[in-house]
Amino acid sequence: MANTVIGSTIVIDGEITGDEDLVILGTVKGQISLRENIVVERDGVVEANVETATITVHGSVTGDIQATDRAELRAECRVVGDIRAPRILIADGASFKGNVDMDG
Amino acid sequence: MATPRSTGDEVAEETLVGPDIAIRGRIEGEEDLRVEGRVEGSVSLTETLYVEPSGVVIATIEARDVVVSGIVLGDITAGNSVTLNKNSKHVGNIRAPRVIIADGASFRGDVAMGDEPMPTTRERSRATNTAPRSSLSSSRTSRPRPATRSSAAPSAPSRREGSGPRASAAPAPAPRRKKKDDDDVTVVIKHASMRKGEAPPEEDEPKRRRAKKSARMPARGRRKAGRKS
Repeated sequence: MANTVIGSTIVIDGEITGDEDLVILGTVKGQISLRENIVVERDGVVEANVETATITVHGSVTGDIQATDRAELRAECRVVGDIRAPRILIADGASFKGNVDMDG
Repeated sequence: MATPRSTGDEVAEETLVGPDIAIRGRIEGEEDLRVEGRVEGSVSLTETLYVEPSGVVIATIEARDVVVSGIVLGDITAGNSVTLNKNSKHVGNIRAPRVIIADGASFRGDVAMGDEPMPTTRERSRATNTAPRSSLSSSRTSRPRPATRSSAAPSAPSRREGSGPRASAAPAPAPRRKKKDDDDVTVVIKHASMRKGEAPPEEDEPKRRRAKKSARMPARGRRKAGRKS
């Protein structure tokens, strides 16, 4: 229930760690390490290396993504960086530049 | 995914740092921020910062309003008000036109209300000085460590105990063992030599061996054996 939400006007420069879902509508720079789900909403901007279980990107991510379960790049997202995850979904309309590694 | 508080517009949204989240670094924003987890670094908001009972904020805080129900370490500068609720804890200085400290709140630091410039370095240094002092004194008072030394004493007997079983286990060297064996053996030898001065030394030696083998037996038994033979 207690989703952590980074609101649209919020800018975080630093490191986020934790054990619960994270919804990003604002801007996060630095590093994110979670063991749960991350949703980067349409206006969300992430300039960080991301470690998580699953990540769903509607907005923009610049940085490497390492997901233990799944990485979803939805339509109209922009992702620059390497993605490492067992399951990677890239929707029609997504913009992505980087390396994909689905082996581990 | 929006927050429950939304009154319609996006503006009404609120950032929530959940109880299992830790953020280290700088947070800036133009909306409410509710901290139920942990934030370290600095926080700069144009709206309200809520530090919930489970929240811990170790940061320099600037905001319009700050409502503390949890723990805050660091200076708070508020454009409007600072509220320290019941059961909140704050160590640091407060600067705000309105400061509300509820009954049951814990606070140490300087308060500056009104428009005078914040007594910065001096007061801050004072505040920071007091913190270490208290921590020092607390560390002094929490000195029951020497007790651990006295507790080292019991460890010595335990060593003896440890060497004891070893000694009884094998009939060979090791100083303490020898002592015991020697004592026993000498006793036996005395008895043997005293009793049968006539007996040839050849016999004596086998008896010694027997005695050594039976060193673990109670002394009485050995003596009896010596007498019989």
